[in-house]
Amino acid sequence: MKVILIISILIITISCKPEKFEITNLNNNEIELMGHGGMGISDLYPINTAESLMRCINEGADGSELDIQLTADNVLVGFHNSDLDGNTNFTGRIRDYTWNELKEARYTSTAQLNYKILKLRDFFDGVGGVDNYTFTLDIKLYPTDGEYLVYIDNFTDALKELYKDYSIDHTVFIEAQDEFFLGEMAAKDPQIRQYIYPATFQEGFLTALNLGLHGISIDSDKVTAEQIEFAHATGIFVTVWGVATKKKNREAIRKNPDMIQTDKVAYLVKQLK
Amino acid sequence: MQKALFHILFLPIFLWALPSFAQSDSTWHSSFYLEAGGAGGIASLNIEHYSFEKENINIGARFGLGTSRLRNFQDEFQPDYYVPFGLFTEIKVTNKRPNPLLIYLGAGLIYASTVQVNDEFEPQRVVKLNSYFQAGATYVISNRLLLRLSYSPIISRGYGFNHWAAISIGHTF
Repeated sequence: MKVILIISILIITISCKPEKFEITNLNNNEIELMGHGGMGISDLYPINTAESLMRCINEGADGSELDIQLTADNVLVGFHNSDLDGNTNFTGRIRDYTWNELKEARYTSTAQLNYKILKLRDFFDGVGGVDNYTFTLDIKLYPTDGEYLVYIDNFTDALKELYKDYSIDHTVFIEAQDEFFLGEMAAKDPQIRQYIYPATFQEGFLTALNLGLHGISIDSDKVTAEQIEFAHATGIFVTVWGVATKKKNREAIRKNPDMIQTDKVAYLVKQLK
Repeated sequence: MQKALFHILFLPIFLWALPSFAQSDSTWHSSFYLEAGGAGGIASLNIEHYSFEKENINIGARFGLGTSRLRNFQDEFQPDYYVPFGLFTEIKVTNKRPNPLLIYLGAGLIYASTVQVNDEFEPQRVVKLNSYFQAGATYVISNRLLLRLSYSPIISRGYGFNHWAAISIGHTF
C-alpha cells in the first residue's frame, strides 16, 4: 500500500513538472507573454478593464492585448463588443458617446461587479511606466453610418498623438483587420509596428508583405509551426491568440510564435518564466 | 438613507431575535449552509433561522458572508465581500418524513464591498447596498442535510438586474 502511494506521488510530481521548451523565434528566442484583454475571457474581471489589465501584469505577464475603440470626441477607450448593450448599463455604440458621457458607464456582465470602461491614456499614465510593458492595441472599427473615412482619419490621428506623447514605438503594437486602416496608419506614422489580423495565414502573409507590416496576429488553431517558421524566414513576426486552455497554451508554445495572447495568464507564466 | 437602512435591517433582526413560534413538527429550526453563487457572490457561508413555523409554512431570517475574490488586482490580500441579509419562507410540498421537499422564496439586501481601481490606479473599496430575490427548492435528507437549488437574481444599485443562480448544501439543527 505504502509503495503504491509513493509511486503515485512520484508520478503526479513528475507529470506536473513544467515541460522544457526550446524557443526559436524573431524575438531573441523568447515568447512575449501577453494577456488577452488582461486576464482573459474566463476571469471575473471583464476584459479591457483597468482591473483585468493590472492583475495580468501583476501575475507576471510581459503585457497584454487590449481592444480599442474611438468615442464621439475621439478619445481612445478599451472595449471589445460592437455595442454596449448586454454587458454594460449603456446602449448603442462607443462612437455614440463622448468620453464625459461614457465614463459613467459600468460593466454589468457579472452581478455586483460594476467596473468602469477604460480610457487608454489614463491607463498609460497609471500603469507605472508604460514602456516597461508590451501592449498590443487591437483596433475595433465600429463607425456610425456614412462616416467611415472621417472615422479612420480621426482614429489614426488619435493613435499618432498617443505614440508621440508616450514614445512607445517599440513596446506598443497595433493590430487590425482592416487593410485600409493599416495603410492610413503607416502613412501617418511609419515607425509604428503593425500586425494584420487575417482570416487565414496565407492572406495575412501576403498582406504583411505588401503593406510592409511588422507581423501577423492569428488564431493559434489557424497556423502551424511550419507556417510560423516560414514567416520568420522572411522577417515577419507572428502573434497567436485564441489560447484559452492549458493544452492550447502548450501547443501554442511549441509553434514558436513571437508573442502569445493567452486567456490563462497564470498558467503561461508558470510555463515560460 | 440611514433611516431606510434601519427599517430594512429591523425586520430580519427582529425575526431572528424572536423565540421560535412553532406549530409544526420540524425537528430543525435553523440551518447553516455553504452557497455557491447567489446573493453572496461566488461562495458564501449562511445561517438561517425559522421564527414562525406552522404546519406547512415557515418564515425566517437569513444572514451570510460571501466573497467573489480574495486578492485584489495588485495580488494583495483584499477580498471583495458581501453580506446578504433578508427574509425567507419555505412551504412544504411533500411532508414525507424524514425527507421533506420545500419551496423556498426569499428576498433581501446585500451589503457589497468590492475593490476597484481609483483615479490613481490604486485599489479602492466601493460599497453598495444591492438587492436579491431567491426562488427555489429545498430538499432535506434525514432532517440533517439540506440541499437547495434556486434562481437568485441580483439588482445592483444603479446598474440593473442580473440573472444569477445558487446551489446550497448545509446542515440543519
